[in-house]
Amino acid sequence: MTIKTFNEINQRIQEGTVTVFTVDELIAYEAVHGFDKTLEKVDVVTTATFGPMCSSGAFLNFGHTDPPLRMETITLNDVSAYGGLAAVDTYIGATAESTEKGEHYGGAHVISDLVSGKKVTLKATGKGTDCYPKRAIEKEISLDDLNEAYLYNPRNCYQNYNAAINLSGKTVRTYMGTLLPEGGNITYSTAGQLSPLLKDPTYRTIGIGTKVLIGGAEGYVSWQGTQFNSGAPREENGITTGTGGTLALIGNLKEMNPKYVRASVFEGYGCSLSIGVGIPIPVLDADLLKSLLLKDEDIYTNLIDYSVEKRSRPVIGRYSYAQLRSGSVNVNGKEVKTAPITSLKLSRDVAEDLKTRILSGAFTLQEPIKQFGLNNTVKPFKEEA
Amino acid sequence: MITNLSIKYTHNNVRRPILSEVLKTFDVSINILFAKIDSDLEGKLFTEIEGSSAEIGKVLQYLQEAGVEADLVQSMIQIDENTCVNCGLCTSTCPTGALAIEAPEWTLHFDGHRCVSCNRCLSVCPQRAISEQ
Repeated sequence: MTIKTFNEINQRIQEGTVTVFTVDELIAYEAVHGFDKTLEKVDVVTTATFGPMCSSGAFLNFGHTDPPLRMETITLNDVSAYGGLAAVDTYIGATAESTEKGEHYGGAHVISDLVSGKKVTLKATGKGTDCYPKRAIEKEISLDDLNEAYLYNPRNCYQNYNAAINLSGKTVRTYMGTLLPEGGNITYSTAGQLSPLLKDPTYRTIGIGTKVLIGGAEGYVSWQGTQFNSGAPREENGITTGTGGTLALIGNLKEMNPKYVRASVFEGYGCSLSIGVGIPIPVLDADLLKSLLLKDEDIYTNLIDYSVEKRSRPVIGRYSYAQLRSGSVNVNGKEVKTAPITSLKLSRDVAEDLKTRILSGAFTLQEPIKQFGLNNTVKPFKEEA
Repeated sequence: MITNLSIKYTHNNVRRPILSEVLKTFDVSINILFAKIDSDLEGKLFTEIEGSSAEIGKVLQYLQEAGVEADLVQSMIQIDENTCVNCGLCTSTCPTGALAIEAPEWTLHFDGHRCVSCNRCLSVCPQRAISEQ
């Protein structure tokens, strides 16, 4: 069944003979030239997404002071970072909020400020020990001052995501934006037909070790993302009916482009980090090409009532991304306006950027060193004994 | 013509019924979209004005002579294009369709003539790219 291998494609990348299309270009090409010609011609398809990914954060190493200090309480621009690692390592999470500015400035802002070349104020204290006699430091630092600084995001790139509506009588403020009462609007996420895990729905080419573009830098899939739900119900075309797989991603903050690493604030919810992620998918065979050719009209998601304060919220209906992208959909007989959260414009920029890198020979593909399981489920928290 | 008229009062003239004088003197109709007076007794009015361009010109002159700041503006919001990521979330709460995003480009379009300065978009924009002028 295999018609191309990772090795063959990498050879073509190095020889400069590789054919790379973005998803949009692939769909347009196939419409004109047909399936068989497309299978023969195209080696790699670039997929991408740019949107808020709350489960993100960065590991930082500050270097040692003289005398040394074990940093046990750490803040960066008044945002708390983790002090439970060895001496001068920390992890700052995107959604941690500033003690001074609340949801308007958080870990996501610290990370995007560092990537933008801005200085941030580090305040750290330790109890003072024989190994680490110093007790406190306060200093402005920049990304260049750090030894290592890398994003390590436990859950990015959701495979499919709910669309949101609010059927209650009052406005609700969510990570899906401000939802107006009485079904006043709908917001939806993912880049649809361009979104990475929707184009390789059974993770044949995306696994541990897959090389990706994250925040404009080369990075890797380091593990399955948290709440990895590969065992979720699927449509005939392989797409999960709701949320499915997720990715844990890693990438060097020092190589990132501020255009693709942006702090976001959702009023009444908190802050998040919006990141651009691009993943190349090799066209290994006809099955993979079929998934890559899925269009917005073939990919459906659940519309969920976000006003219901329960873990399981009712599904109001199922809509394709083509319907959601049309500007309005019919919900129980009423036309409701729809609006995206994922930037399709920046997602396309990421896919183009990745394509350019592959064509130039600078970015080769990495075959997964371990594949994800297909039967993972997500357990709820057990509150009762 | 129909255009948006922004009027800013100072504490010296905030108690004078200037808008009422305008309506009695000139052949224009005015729809107040937004009005505010702060604790320093400085006021802001955002209105839609309809009339001939000559008549609207006279209104502007009258307002300026009365000592209030009056400008014909598209709207009271501005979008910082460097900060905007073209996500489109602001369009979700825009009641008039002044903010729109659609195929094929999926970049944000703002039509100032349709904006009624409700300012819902200010807090909805995750990038804080929209501000009041």
